[in-house]
Amino acid sequence: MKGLFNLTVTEFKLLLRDATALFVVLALPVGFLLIFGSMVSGGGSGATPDAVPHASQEFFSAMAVSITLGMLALFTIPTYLGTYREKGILRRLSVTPVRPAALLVAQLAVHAAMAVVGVALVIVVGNAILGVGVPQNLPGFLIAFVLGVASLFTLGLLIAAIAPSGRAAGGIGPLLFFPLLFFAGAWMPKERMPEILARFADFTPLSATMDSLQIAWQGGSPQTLHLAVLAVFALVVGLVATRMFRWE
Amino acid sequence: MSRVPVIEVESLHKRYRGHTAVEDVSFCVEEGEIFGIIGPNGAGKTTTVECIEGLRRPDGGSVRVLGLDPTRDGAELRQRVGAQLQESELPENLRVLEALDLYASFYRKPANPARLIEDLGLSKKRNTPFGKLSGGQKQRLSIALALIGSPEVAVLDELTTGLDPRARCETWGLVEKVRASGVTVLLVTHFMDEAERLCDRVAVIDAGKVVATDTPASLTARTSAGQRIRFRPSASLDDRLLTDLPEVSGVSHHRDEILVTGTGDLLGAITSVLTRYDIAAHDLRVERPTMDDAFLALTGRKLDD
Repeated sequence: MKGLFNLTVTEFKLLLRDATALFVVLALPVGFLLIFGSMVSGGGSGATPDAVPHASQEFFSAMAVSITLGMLALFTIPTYLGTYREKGILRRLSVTPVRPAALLVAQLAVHAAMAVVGVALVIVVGNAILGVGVPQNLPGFLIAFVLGVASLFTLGLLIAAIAPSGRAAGGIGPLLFFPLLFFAGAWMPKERMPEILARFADFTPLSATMDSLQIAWQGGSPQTLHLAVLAVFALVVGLVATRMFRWE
Repeated sequence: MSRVPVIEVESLHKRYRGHTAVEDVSFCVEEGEIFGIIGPNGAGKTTTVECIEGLRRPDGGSVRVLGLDPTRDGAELRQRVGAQLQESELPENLRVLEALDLYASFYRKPANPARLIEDLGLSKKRNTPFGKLSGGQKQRLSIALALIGSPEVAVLDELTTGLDPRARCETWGLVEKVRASGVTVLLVTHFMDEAERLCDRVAVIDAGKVVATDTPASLTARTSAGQRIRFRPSASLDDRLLTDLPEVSGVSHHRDEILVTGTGDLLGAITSVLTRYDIAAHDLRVERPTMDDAFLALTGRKLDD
């Protein structure tokens, strides 16, 4: 346990020294929120200007959070773990009393902490600068956040499990991220998608996360379908990823 | 009183998909030794030590380390055996002292990280990130990490590959210090000079089998290459005077230099002949066979092939 704790502390320090990871967690979501959030007027469900008809400030807040989660899950987690395997860091640990699985746990814990920092920043900055309300349905929001983190992070773990190298992992992540972002409605609102695409989107993790966060933000209850999709996704992908993970 | 072997490998056999990495390897390492496993790349050296470290499960034979079975008693083994792996790195941004503090926290009775840093000459680099260390410094850090758990046995795999001659020499000095502190060292190398300089005994492995286990001196003495003596005679000399000597096996000329090969007291025999005929030997050099010659004699091929 002491080993796992110290590994986690160390991984946290390393992440804080990693400019890319900090950008993903701190600058990117806040910048995104400030640029797009300021294009729509005050919060709530009503007033949406014609320029961005589907958009509310909660939509952009939920999207900023989702992008952070997605990038942590699909960019930094696979790159870290892929590199750790490639450089023999996991193998090196396996000749110490600590099991290399501890490093996986430490990485996921550290990234989860960063996700919390990211979402807190979006809420605080959005509220302070743009006057976005805090999430109205807090329990619903927390459930959506936890399930979103679980499903996306296990997807990152799966990429790390199957990617032959750190570089390959760093390439597969974005390859998945952008389609997922499309289905989440980042480029085309789901209401405008063809029916079949919109239905499919309900079963993709980033879309389910984003919809659930946005609904909870505005005070509604996330759809059971979305939460179920996230839970099942996390369970199945997590199981496959841990089965397939290669330590060297 | 016979000493209990620290490492006992008996008829070890390990296959990977499609090929046999280790065919049949047996050897014993005694307490306090620096024991070398030498052989060309792909001979099965690393697979052998990976079975000793518990990283791989043997397909046949048995391995005992400090009386433990590496696959069954892995947890206890990893407390007492320190390992330096071939080509294993650390995160770029992890600093030297942080790495040692972290690894120290994994062990029951860790060594003092600050003192280890001192001993390995890394004091000035204690706050340097791993990515900014030179090859020699990285290697010293990996030795430090192998020793951080106060191990009874240290397994060092291809310790000096990629190091410049000076760094290699310094690293050799460190290994001798490690042994002097009471740690049994198992050293894997494909450098014969390294084995010759450091090891008390070596096992020569070729194509997954041990072809000889002995001290470096005995291995070289065994080679048919024997000794070589070169000199420039002050006056011309009939080859037959030399070839008639029982110790001499061959005589050849290279410009004005004579090369005599043979065994036994070759030097004594040659000098007495030369003295008898009042010929002086200029630039006389005695060349002992090296481990490279020994390897060639044992396996029928050169190490670099």
